[in-house]
Amino acid sequence: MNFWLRFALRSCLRRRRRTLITLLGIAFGVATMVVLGAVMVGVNDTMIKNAVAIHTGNVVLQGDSVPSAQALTRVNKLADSLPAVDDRIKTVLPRLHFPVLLTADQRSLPLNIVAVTPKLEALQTPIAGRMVSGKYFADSQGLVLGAAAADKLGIEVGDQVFLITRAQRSAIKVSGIFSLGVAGLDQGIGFIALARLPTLPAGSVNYEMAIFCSPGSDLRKVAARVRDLSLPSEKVRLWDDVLPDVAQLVKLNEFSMLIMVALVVIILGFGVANALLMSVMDRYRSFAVLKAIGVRPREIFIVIMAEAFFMGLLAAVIGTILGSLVTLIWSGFGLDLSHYTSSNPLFSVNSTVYPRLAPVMVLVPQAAALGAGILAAVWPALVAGRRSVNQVMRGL
Amino acid sequence: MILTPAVQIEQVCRSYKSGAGRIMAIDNLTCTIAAGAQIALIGPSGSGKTTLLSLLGALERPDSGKIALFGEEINGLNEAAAAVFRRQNIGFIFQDDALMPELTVAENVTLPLILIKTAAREIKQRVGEILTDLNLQQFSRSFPQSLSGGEKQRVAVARAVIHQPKLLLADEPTANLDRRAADKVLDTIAKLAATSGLTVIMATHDPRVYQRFPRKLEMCDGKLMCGC
Ligand SMILES: Nc1ncnc2c1ncn2[C@@H]1O[C@H](COP(=O)(O)OP(=O)(O)OP(=O)(O)O)[C@@H](O)[C@H]1O
Ligand SMILES: [Mg+2]
Repeated sequence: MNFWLRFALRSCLRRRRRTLITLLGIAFGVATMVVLGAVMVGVNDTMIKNAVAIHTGNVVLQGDSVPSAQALTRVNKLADSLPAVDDRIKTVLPRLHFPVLLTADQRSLPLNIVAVTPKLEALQTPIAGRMVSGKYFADSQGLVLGAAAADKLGIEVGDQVFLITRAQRSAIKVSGIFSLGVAGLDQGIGFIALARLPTLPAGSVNYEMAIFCSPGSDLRKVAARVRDLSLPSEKVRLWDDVLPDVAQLVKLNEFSMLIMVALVVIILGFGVANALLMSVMDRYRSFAVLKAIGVRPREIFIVIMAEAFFMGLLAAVIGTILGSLVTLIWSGFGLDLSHYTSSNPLFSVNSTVYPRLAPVMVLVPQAAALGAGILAAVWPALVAGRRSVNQVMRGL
Repeated sequence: MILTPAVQIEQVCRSYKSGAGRIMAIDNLTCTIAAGAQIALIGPSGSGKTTLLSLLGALERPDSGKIALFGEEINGLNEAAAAVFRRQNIGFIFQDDALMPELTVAENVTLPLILIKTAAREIKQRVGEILTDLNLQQFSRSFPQSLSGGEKQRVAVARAVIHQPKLLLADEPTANLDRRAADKVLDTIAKLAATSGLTVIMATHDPRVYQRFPRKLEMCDGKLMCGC
């Protein structure tokens, strides 16, 4: 190893206690940033997951309004072919939409009917777990709708209602009522099984394939593959394109995290600068002797910078390990935010956040702490080389 | 044959701010020292001995005048160039406390050789030789704080001469040592000087030290009293 680097390492080791305190300070800062970053990533994950589960999937293929029979054929074909397109694709859910007027007795209500495959859908959608009455598709014949809609119409499970479209009117039994606590969904959506669709006078329907991918997948790549399979009339979009409000919230979250990181890094920087300056001032005499021997100020500068680098690197590594450990343990049981989120539609479905280590949020604090440590060392390093030997030797 | 003198000082002045006025630490000093000379720099406290050594070692710049070592003018060198000049030509010994506490005795002695980029094998050999010569081989892996004052100072001597400088500048190297330790250090320096033709300039108050030197330069108020 280069002599000056070895010298720097020795200096750190010799002032063990001071080095350790500085090091622990940085490591704690890094660990905090890693954990906070993971919580933020977890919060974003939950928001995205909740929004995506009901609305779009991670990637969505949207088809134009076509007769329902044609739509059925198309979605069945896609349901077969899409999962093979990319191994990041976990589940593909066909969803066919059409508007109806729902009537019971004298009352009526506009409702968006979504025809789904109950078994697959139940694995992704939070609705299956939010039934307040009846079951989520005990059979494939009934209608599952929100509590607000049921209230408005004064209906219960087992009641018969009518779906009225431009073409026709047909009877269906209410088989389940859910409540998500989100007004738009509780009042505006009803679900039927895809198998029931042919018996209903749906007329034209919009169809889509909600594609769910494994966490952390590169959705752009998945979308590109899906696009290769799609018809010219079909659109393939990412969830953030379909749900810009959620995407913005995620960005806002990331931005505030960035400010946090910046603040912590600045504080760390001052701490490192202070510790190094003290250590340099303690060693003025050593540096003066080195200069008398013929060491250039530049070489002294390198020694101090190397000390900062070693300390920063070790601290960043320790901090990252520590933060990652805490995160991993924490992610085992999650963090229940229902107290803070119960009125927030993005959390109403599932308010437990699981901190997750995203590579960026692990590397950014590490790099930032290392960078701050090195930057903070510049001033002490300059000071170390600048003192005149004569002054130091006279104790001036 | 006319040898280039080791030291040529011409009308050198160096003053320092002191309260409202200035102190002339070196006052228009002119002097020449032959190569290979061994000189004791004596004079009362505050007479400018340390300042003169600093100027000769290019640790300080004169306000005016010229200083040449072995024919090379050093008063115009910038800090980095002065450092390079020192590592090649000068050995320094301070009063005390001049070893790097984070390095072992052998590593301390190695420092000057590393600065002049000596090959690793040669470093090992030369450091071994000089430590044996100065009877320090048993300390080679020890850290300075475990050595006595006299032993430390002998290590400092070893470090000052390992790179075979032409000029050895010593500022009261024995002031903090007892008689026996001081003698040992001085003997060591004398022996090295005799065998290598090293020019030695040693500042001291101590009559028992300067009596050993054939030639003395006496300073008073930044001027030379006699001897030049
Ligand atoms: N950096 C400085 N700032 C102010 N005054 C200085 C400085 N360096 C030296 N002096 C002054 O210059 C004069 C000469 O000092 P110098 O240290 O050279 O004397 P000296 O002969 O080495 O004394 P001593 O025998 O006590 O070591 C003194 O008056 C000292 O106070
Ligand atoms: Mg002095």
